[in-house]
Amino acid sequence: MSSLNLASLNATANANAVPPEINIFIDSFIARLKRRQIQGSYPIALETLQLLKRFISAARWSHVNDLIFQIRALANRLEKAHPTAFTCGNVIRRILAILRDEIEEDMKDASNNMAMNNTVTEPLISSMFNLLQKPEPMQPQKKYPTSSSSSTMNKTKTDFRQVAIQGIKDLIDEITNIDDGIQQIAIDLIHDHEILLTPTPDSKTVLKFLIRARERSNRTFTVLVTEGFPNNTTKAQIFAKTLAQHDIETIIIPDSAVFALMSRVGKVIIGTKAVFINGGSISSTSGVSTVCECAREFKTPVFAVAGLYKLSPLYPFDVEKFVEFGGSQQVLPRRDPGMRLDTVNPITDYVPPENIDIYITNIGGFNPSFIYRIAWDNYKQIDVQLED
Amino acid sequence: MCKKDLTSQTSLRDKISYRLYRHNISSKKVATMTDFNITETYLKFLEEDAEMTMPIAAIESLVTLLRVKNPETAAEMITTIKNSTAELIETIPNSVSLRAGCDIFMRFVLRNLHLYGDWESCKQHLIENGQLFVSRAKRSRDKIAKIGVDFISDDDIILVHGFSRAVFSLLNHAAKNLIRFRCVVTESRPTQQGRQLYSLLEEKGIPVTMVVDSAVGTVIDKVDKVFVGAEGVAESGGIINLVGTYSVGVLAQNARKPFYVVTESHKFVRMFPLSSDDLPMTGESLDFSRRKDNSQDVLRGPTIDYTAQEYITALITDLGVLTPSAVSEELIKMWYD
Amino acid sequence: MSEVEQAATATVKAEPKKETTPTSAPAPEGDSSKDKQLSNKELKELKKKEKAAKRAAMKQASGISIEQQQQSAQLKKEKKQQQREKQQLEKKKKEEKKNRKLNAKQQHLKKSTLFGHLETTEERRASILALTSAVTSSNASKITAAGLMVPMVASALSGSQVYTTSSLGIPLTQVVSATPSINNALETASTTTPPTISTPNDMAKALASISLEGDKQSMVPGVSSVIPEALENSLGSSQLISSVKELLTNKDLIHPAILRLTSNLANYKIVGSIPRCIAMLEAFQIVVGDYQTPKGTTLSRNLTNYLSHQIDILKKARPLSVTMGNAIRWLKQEISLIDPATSDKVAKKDLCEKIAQFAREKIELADQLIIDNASTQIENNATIVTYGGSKVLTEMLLYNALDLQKNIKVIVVDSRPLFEGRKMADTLRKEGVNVMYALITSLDTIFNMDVDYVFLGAHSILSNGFLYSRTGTAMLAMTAKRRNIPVLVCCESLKFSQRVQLDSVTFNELADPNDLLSTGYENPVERRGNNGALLKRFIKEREEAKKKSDIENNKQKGSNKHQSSSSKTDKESSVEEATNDDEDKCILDGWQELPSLNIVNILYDLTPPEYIKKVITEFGALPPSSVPVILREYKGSA
Repeated sequence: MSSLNLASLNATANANAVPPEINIFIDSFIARLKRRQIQGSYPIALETLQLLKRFISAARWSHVNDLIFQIRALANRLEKAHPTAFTCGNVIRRILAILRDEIEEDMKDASNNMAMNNTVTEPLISSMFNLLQKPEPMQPQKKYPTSSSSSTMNKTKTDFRQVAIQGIKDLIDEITNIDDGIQQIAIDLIHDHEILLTPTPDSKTVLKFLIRARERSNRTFTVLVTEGFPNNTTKAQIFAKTLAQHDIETIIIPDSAVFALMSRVGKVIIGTKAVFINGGSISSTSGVSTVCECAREFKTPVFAVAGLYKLSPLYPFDVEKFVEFGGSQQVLPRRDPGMRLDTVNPITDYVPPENIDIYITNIGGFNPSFIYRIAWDNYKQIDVQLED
Repeated sequence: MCKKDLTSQTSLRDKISYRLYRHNISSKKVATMTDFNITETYLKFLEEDAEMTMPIAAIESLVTLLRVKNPETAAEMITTIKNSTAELIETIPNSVSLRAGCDIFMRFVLRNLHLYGDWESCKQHLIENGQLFVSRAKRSRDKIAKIGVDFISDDDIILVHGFSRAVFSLLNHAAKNLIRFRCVVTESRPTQQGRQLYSLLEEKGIPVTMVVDSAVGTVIDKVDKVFVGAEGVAESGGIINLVGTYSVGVLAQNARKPFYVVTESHKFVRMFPLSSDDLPMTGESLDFSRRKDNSQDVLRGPTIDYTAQEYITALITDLGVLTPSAVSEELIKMWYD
Repeated sequence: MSEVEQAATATVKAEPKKETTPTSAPAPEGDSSKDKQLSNKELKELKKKEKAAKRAAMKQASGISIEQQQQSAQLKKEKKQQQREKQQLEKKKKEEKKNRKLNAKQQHLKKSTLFGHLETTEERRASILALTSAVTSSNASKITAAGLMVPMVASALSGSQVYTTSSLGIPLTQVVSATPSINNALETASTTTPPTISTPNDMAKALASISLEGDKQSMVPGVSSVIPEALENSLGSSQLISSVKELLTNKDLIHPAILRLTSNLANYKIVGSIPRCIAMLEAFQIVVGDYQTPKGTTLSRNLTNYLSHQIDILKKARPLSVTMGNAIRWLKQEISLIDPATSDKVAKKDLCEKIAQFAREKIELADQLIIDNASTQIENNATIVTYGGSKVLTEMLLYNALDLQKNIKVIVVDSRPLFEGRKMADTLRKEGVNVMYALITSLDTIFNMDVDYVFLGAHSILSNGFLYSRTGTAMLAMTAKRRNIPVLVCCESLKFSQRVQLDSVTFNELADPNDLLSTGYENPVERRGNNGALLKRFIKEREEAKKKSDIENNKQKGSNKHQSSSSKTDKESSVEEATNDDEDKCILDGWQELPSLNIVNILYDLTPPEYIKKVITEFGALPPSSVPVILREYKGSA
């Protein structure tokens, strides 16, 4: 794999092959990210994909590694613009993984065609075997880009653009239809007359899921909605009202009352903004981690709903880096300068994996400790670090 | 094979196992002394290269075995390896770690034989590339250091129990990256590993202090994270390590401090101990028999223990940062496909 | 079969005689729907009787058995009685119809599934409203009594404005500026409210309700017409009505100081269990001072009784705090110990002194001891997290920062809707203490900082060691415990309670759900000072009622009435506009209309003892498990 990297480094000279008209789009998107004008992981993911689609259709490259290099550079810029808009990096990494898979596939075919079956070319089934692996299998890979004729390259080039665009289209499809998949699984987790609590009123997935559970499977249940003061109170009220209008018994409670009521709660449902490979997640309302801690204390199951695109291949080494902070004006009224108080206003919250019982994604329910596998199914380790 | 030479050359842990081995040999009088002795070879490898870990030494010994015996058929090769492995495991008292090496080796051989029937080339490859494995093992520690360096941030106080080359290389790498952190090293009785690590860290200019093992509970609140190595990583993701690791893990969890295991992936071993009692150990963990004479040390008891996966936050390996359940996936992938 | 039916109707009709509440009064015609009111048991018995009767009839060819004869005779008698009752009730018919409507409404009354067993603010407010109106009406002339009432609570809610309205759909007779004190309000009401009976029709209604007032068995007289309809709904439950009625029968006994306190408590002007207790003790001093022993009894016997009436009212503001309960128990004991031979004057003086001493010993001195004890705990350069606002904690922190010159950092954690911590943070900040203010949603961030201690105040500590305190305390204590940060509770032994409780749902206090309507950081209690949701609703309902009555009046009377009401409309609409400005933003306006939407605003939660390292009291520091020990050892003194 490192050989690919080397090849892409060679292609640095061609990196500025991005047409100017695309650059305008990129710049404006980055500007909007920087100003936090795009809110919510869902729109960010979709817009990123749209941008990527334009980018790939317009990009010029001589070798597919070159394309990968360009995409990585773009992803890096976007990620720098808004380090906590995880979905942005996630979707690009997904596309990169698709491209890389295709390359691998290609090479396999090629090597089969060349009948270079003299050595054990079987791919590493387990990375544990790295230790004992023969050094030979690396060689055909190294040789391949240089030795293969230009005609095959041309063939693959058009292929890759198609592959990438098709990948983007599929991904957009997947993201827009995510709720269906989640609902199918999650409905089985609610029983009649259950009391649920959700501390993430801004999650559309949670909202849709609850409404769906009420209407489709005709379950009656009570939903406790925390206020999410100070940043999400408005959203919480709209959320509660929407639920109530759908004939779901809804109770708004202040954030402080969670512990008092937790003994009555059957399940806690949380929405997520990003899910990391250790099974922890970032939620877009502050206070969620405390709610989940309460739930853990009461042994109340917590289930998190998350679209696959929220899975991030990153590891939360430094949680504080991932938690966003907002302005103090939400917390305290303006006051005269002499009487100012220090305050903090975290906007997001990190929920450690031990406080989440299960993740419901559009492809199934998973234990937090298994999230890493789902992530590696969709991403390539090599793309975790986008910085070169 | 003089004892004095050993003291100066081998690392302290290996010295202990060697001593125990000598003791075993003298008592058991191993009869099967042929022209090649796998145990002797194994210990010699450890003795010659202080940087070499037990699983690698085991692999190297097996490679040497193949070279010496040069088996004629596939079946012969397999039996030879099997027998030697059994012998090695039996004669070395602390066999967890080397067992991992033997496991991988065996599995690799079997795989290649079954899949391709091309045992000749496989044997050839193994015999020729002995030194390559050693260097790869060393490289994997560098890789771990690179992966794990993100876990250390400025102003951290890191508790380390026992001496592990992987942990040391990680700490060393972090210090090289100009991360300012401090280390608390446990004495790691009954070994000298604490002192060994202390002097190494001091040498590298990392602020370090040493506490007795029993002080871990007292200092754990001041500590930000815990790093330990592992002799073997069991299938559940739990680890087998120097005695005391389990206590440190429990204390760390109680204090909600992250507990990281830094280890190479070739230490993953196909074992699933239920508790420390379940480990392959010589003798009872609690020995109530009377001392034979006054010169015998009163201190007895287990030298290794098992820390279950629920105490482990993550494993930092050359395969990346793994959750304990990912370990079992790696092992499953290796054995069933 | 007809006999059964008769019997059924008879029993149903007989019932109202026992139950005097009009809610259960049947419709004059005993129809089949009333059968539902029969319990299954009764129904079975009736069926048995019927069978027995039939068997008897089969056996005895002679015909009707004696039993049956007797039964039918009884039925007839009862029917007659019922008839009489009906005639009596004829007068109240209007009232009843209203009540039936009210019953129907009650099914939609907002009661959350979890807290159905707790008294809601609306219920409490309704009873206070009923009460205050009755009290004031007795101060005013008889005519005003039936007519208009100053809804005292509404006036207090509205801050400095007192609205005097006619009960008969003529709202806002005038807007009188008055101080928020009930005393003044009382005066205002009695002096500046001339009876505004403008039409003979109104007069008749007024007279009708006066006559009803005489009838102690009827529902709260005049009240239903005074209070906003929403509140009227709350008066649905018979239990509540009977309690209100009881209060009303004794309304003449209520001391104005108590009324003023009631209103302050109900509006969260006085919060915190210690300030509430002090305020109550102060009020009791006045009450005791003004007390006159009626003839034929002694002070030691009658004063307790008299105080009980006052306490009943206080309970209606908010459930008594544990401190108040403990103080009341102590006071009653003190009164009972008074030698009947002592003259009233001396006894009263003694009592007042004792009350003052009690407050000093149990609160001031205790606080001092607690502060001393807690201060030994705090090290220099410590970071301390507190929650909400606690008097003793504020003093303790100030003492450490200022007098002991310790360099401490305080993180005040606060929560909606009361924002009690803001006051505490301000106080500390004013004195130059290093303060940080944070909300309970940012707990994770706060505990990522280097926190050394968590200090908590208490409302009460129960005898099973649970800490009963402001909601959110438990959450904070839990997160601290999980991070091995010691949690210390500063608590006077006055707050120790004999009660045991296992979770926060079974016993709690419900605050006004409307407090959670706003989305901003304003304190709704302060905001309500200008234009509360309650007042707004009141005005809205009045307006609707007025429109209706306007139409009626127009039909009946004509122009002269119309003029007067239109002038009132102007005033009203101006008020409405003012309220609209702020309220329009609320997404949840009108949440009451959504049947499945509920807002729960509980005031307290329970912190399990395992989260608490230490309880610091005036007796020293103890583990929470020692609370019952203290209660036993010092039973007499608390």
